[in-house]
Amino acid sequence: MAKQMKPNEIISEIDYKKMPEGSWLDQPAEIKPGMFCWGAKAKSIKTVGFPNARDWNPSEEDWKLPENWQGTVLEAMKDRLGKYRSFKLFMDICVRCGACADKCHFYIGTGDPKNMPVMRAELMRSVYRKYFTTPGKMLGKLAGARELDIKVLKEWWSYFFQCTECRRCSVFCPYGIDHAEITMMGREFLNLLGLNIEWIMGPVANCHVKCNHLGLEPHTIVNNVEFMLDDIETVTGIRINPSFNRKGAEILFVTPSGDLFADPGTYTCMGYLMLFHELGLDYTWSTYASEGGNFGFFTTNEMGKRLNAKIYAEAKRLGVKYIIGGECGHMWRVLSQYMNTWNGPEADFLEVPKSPITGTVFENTRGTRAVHISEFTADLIKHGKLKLDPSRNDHLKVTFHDSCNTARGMGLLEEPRYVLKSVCNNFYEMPQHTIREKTFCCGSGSGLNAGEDIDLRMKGGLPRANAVKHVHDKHGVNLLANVCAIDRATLTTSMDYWVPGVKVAGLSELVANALVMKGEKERTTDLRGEPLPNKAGGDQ
Amino acid sequence: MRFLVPLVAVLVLVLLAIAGAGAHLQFLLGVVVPYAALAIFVLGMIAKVVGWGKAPVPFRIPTTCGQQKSLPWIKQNKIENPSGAGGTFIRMLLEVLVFRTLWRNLRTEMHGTPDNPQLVYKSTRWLWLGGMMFHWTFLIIVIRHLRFFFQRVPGFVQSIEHVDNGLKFLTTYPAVTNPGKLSAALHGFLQVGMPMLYVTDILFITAVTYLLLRRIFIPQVKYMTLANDSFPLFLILGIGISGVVMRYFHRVDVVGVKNLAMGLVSFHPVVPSSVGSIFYVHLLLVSTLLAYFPFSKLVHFGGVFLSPTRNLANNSREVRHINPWNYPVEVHTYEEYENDFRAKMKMAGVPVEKEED
Amino acid sequence: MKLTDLLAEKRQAVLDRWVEHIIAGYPQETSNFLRSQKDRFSNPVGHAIIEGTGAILDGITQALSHPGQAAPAVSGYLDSILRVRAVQGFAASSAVSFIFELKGVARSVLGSAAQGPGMNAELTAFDKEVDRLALLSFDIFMQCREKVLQLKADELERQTFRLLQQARLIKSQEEENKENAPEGGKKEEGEVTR
Ligand code: HEM
Ligand code: SF4
Ligand code: SF4
Repeated sequence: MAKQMKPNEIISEIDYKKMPEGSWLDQPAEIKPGMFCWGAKAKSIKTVGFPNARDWNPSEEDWKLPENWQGTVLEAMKDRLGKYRSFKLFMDICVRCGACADKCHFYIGTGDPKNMPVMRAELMRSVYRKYFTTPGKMLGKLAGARELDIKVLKEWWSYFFQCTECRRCSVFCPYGIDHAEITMMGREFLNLLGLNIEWIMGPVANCHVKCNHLGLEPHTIVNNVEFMLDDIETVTGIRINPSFNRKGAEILFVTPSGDLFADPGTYTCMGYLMLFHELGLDYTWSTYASEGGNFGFFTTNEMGKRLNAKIYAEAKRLGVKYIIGGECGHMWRVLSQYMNTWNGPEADFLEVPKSPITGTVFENTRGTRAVHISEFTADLIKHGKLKLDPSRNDHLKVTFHDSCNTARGMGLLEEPRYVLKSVCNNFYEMPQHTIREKTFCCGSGSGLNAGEDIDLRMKGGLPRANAVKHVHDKHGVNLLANVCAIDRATLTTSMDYWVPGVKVAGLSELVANALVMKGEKERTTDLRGEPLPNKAGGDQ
Repeated sequence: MRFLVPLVAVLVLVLLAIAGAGAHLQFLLGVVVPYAALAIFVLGMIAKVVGWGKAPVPFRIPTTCGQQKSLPWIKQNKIENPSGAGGTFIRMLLEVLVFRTLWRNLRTEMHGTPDNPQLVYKSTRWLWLGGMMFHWTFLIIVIRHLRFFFQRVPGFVQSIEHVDNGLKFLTTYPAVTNPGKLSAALHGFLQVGMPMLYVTDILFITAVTYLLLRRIFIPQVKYMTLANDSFPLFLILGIGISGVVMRYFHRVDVVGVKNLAMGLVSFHPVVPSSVGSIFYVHLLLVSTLLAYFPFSKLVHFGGVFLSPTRNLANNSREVRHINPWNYPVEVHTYEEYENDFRAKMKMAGVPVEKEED
Repeated sequence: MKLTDLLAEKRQAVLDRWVEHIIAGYPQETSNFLRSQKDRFSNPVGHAIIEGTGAILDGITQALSHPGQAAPAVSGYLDSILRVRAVQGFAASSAVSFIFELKGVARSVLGSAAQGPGMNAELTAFDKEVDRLALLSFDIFMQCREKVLQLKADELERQTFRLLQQARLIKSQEEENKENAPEGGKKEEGEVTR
C-alpha cells in the first residue's frame, strides 16, 4: 500500500481482467486435492452422537446432507446470534477496512483472496445479511447478501477448514474482530449437518471413549511411559517411577497425548518426567484425564466442554490439590479462557496452586487452579531450585516460536523465554513482528494437521518458516523451541520442507537436557541420543 | 455496481433536494425529513445496542496482545493484556481515541547487502492516518455545528473554531516574520473574499477522498468492498462538498439556517424563506446518513465499545467468568471408562475403583 | 553492443517485466499484494520471486560473459521460487514455465537492439542457458513434490513411532492402533529412531 504506484501500474490495476463486479458472491469454492481433509466417518460421528452420521467424500458432488439443511443452519444461526455477543457484533461492525487482510498466514501462503480474514467472515456475513438484516432482505446482492445454497455451504466448509483459529487477524483489527470466533460458529453449523473432517472427528471420538486423541488405552499409556523411562535411564542412569491414577497425590499432571507417543513430543514428555522426579514432586498422571488437548473445541462448543469436563472430574476423584498442565497451545486457550466457565464449579474443591518447592502461590490461577509448566519452571529457576548446566545445549542455536493460543489467548510470553535463556546459551529472536502477539501460526492448528492437506499446511506454514529461515541464515539457528504439541509435530514437517537443518523441540526437553540431576551418571548424549557438545573446560 | 449504484443514489438525493427546494417543499425537507431521520437514528441505534446487549458474552475471550499477569517478577503488559478494569479502560480509550490497533500495522524491509542484511522496521500507517483524520475532523465539524443549535455559542465550540483557524495563523505568521512572496501570496489567496478557512474542512475532504480512492485502487480492498461501503463514503463526501460549497463559494443565509436549527431543537419548527437550495441538499444528505446509520456498518461507532476481544480483562484464570446459558452436557464418566478398561488397567498396575465388574 | 551488456543495461526493465509475467499468474488481489508488500516476512512468496529473478538473471548474464567458467549457482534461488510453487497447486509444466518466459521477456524489452549483427549466436547461447535452468527447475520441482509426499510418510512414522516400537517388542499386545501405522514396520529399529 505504501508503495508509490506508477501510472501505468495503476491503469493495469483497474483493468477489468479477472474479477467481474461483485464477483466473489457467486464464485464457488474449489475443493482441490492437497487442500482439504477427508470427511468425517460415520463411525466417529456416531460415537459422540452428532447428527447425520454417514460416510461421505468432500470431493464428490453429493455430500449426503440431511433434509431441510438450510432450515437447520438458519435456525442455529439465529440461536447463536442470541447467545454470543461476539458473533452478533462481529457480523454487524466490520467496516471492511482491510487492515486484517494480509495478516493471515493462509492468505500470505495461498494468495487466495477468500483467505483474507475479512472475506472468511464475509462468507458468513453475506448469509447473515440475507436472513437477519433489513437492507439485506430488501436489496439482496446489492447489499452484499446472498442465499444459503449448496454452493455457499461448500464454500463455508472449504474456508472454515482453512482457518486455524489463530487470532492473528484479531490483533490487527481496529475492533478486535476475531475470525477464530467466526470460524468456530461456522464449524458449529457444519457439525449440525455432519460436515466435519475425520482428522478432527476421529480424535474426538477416541477422546470421548478412550480419553485421548489417539485412543491410547490405559495399559498402552503406561507402556509408552515405560519406554521413555528406559530411555531416560540410558541417558542419565536414573530410574524414575511415576504413578498413574494415584489418589491423594498433591498435583494432577495433564498434557496433550501427543507428548506420550509422537516424536519429538516424547522428548518433551521425558523432560516433564525428569523434572518432576528431580523435584520429588508429589504428582500423578491420569489415564482418564490423559488428554490435555481438546479437538472437541474444533467441532462445537458443547463437545469442547464434554471432553474438557474430564480434567476437573478426575482431579476431584483423585483428590488432588491442583493441576499442572503441560506444553500445548490450544489446550491452554481452553484452560485459560474456557475451562472454568464451562466446568468451573467443579474447581472449588481444589486449592489455589502453591509450589511445594518455592512456596510461590500462583495468584493468577486462583480461579482455574491450573498452572502452566512454564510458569512453574520459571518460578523454580528464579528461586535457584534447579541445578542447570546450559552448556549441555551449546550445540544448539535456539529460537522460540510463540504458539498462537498461548500468545493471543493467554499472554504467556516471558515465562518460556526466561526458562529458555536459563537452559541454553544461544538464543536468538525471530523478527519482531513474527513473534509474541504477532506470532505466525505453524499453519496446521485447529485440527488441520492431517496428511492429505499437506499442501495447504505447507503454504500456511510458510510465513513462520520464512522467519525461521532468516535466523537460520543469519545466526545459524538450528533449533526451534516451542511450548505446543501440535507445533512439535507440524513444525518438524514444515522445517523439513522449508528450512532443512532446523529441528524442533519442546521447552521441557531443553530443560531436562540442562538439568543436573542428583545421582546421575556423566551424561554423554542428550535425550535424543545425540552426543553432547565437547565440554573441554570441565564442569562448572 | 459497487461504486456506480451508490454514486447514482447520492446524486439522485442531491437532485431530489434541489427539485424539492424549487417546488417549495421546504417544510418537508427542512422539518419533516430531519425529524424522521433523527427518530430513525435514535430508535434504530437504541434497538441495535440493546440487541447486542441482550446477547450475553458467554466466554471471556480478550485477544491478549502482551505479557499476562503471572509471576510477580515478570512485568505484565497492563494495557495490551489487562487483568483489571483500569488497564481495560485505558486499552479501550486508546482504541477509541487514537486507533491504537491500526497504529500497530508494521512491516519490515530488508536493507544492506545480502551478506550483511539489515532489517528496518517501517510502518504502514496510511490507513491509520486517513482514519484518524477522517474521524477527528468529522467530530470537530459536528461540534462546530453546535453553534447553530445554541442561542449563545458555547465557549468550547468557540475555542475549537479558534484552533481550527490555525491555518490563518500559519499563513499570517510567516507573512509577518518572513515576508516571502510565497506565503504572502498564499495568505492573500486564502483570505481574499473568503470567510476564515477551517483546517478541518480540507483535512476532512482529503481523508474521505483517500478512503474512497483506496477502495477503488487497492485490489484487495476493492475485492472486499460492497455497495454498503462506498455508499456511506459517497454520502459523506457529498455532505462535505455541499458544506464547503455553502461556506466558501455559494453563501447561504446563515441567520435563516440558525433559525431553522433553533426551531428544530425547540420543537417550534420554522421554515425560513430563501436559505438557498444548496442548504437543502446538505440537509437531505445528512438526514439520509442519520437514517441509514443504524442499518449499516456505521454502527461500529457503538459496537467498538462492546467488542469482547477488547473490552474484557484477561482474568478468567483468576475469576470464574459466568456463562448465563451454560448447560449440563453428557460426559463419558470415569465409571464408564473404568468399566471399559478395568482388566487392562489392572494388568498395567493402574489402580481401579472396583476390583470386579 | 554485446547481448550481455544490453542485458546489464536493461536489467531492471527485464526484471520488472519478468516479475509482472510471473505474478500475473495469481488472482489480481494477490498479484498486487505480492508486488507491493515489500516486507519479506509478510510477503515471503513475493520476496522469493523478486529476489530470485534478479539472481537468476545475473547468473545467466555471468554464465554468458564467462563461458569457460563454471556457471554461478542459482539453484538456491530457483529452489526458493519452486518450493513455493510446489505446494501452490501448479502442474510441473506451469510451475517451471516462468523460466521460459524470460526468453520472450528479454527479446521484447531489448527490442530491435537484440536484432543487431552477430546477435543471433548470442541469443542462441542465452536461450540455451535458459533451457538449462528450466531443466534444472524441473528437477527441483519434482524433488519438492517428492519431498511433500515424503513428509506425509515421515510424519505418520513420527506420530506412531512409539506404538510401532511397542507393537514389535510386546508381541502379546493386541494392537487396535495398528490401523494408524504405515504399511508394516518395514524399517529396522535403528532407522526408525533417527
Ligand atoms: C467511537 C467512535 C468511532 C470509532 C472508534 C471509529 C473507528 C473506526 C475505525 C478504526 C475505522 C477503520 C479505519 C478507517 O477506515 O478509517 C472506521 C471506519 C469508518 N468509520 Fe468510524 N469510528 C467511530 C465513529 C464513526 C462515526 C460517528 C462515523 C459517522 C459517519 C464513522 C464512519 C466511518 C466510516 C464511513 C468508516 C469507513 C471508512 C472506509 O470505508 O474506508 N465512524 N471507524
Ligand atoms: S480489520 Fe476488522 S474491520 Fe477491518 S476488514 Fe478486517 S475484520 Fe473488518
Ligand atoms: S484466525 Fe488466523 S487463520 Fe483464521 S482468519 Fe484469522 S489469521 Fe487467518
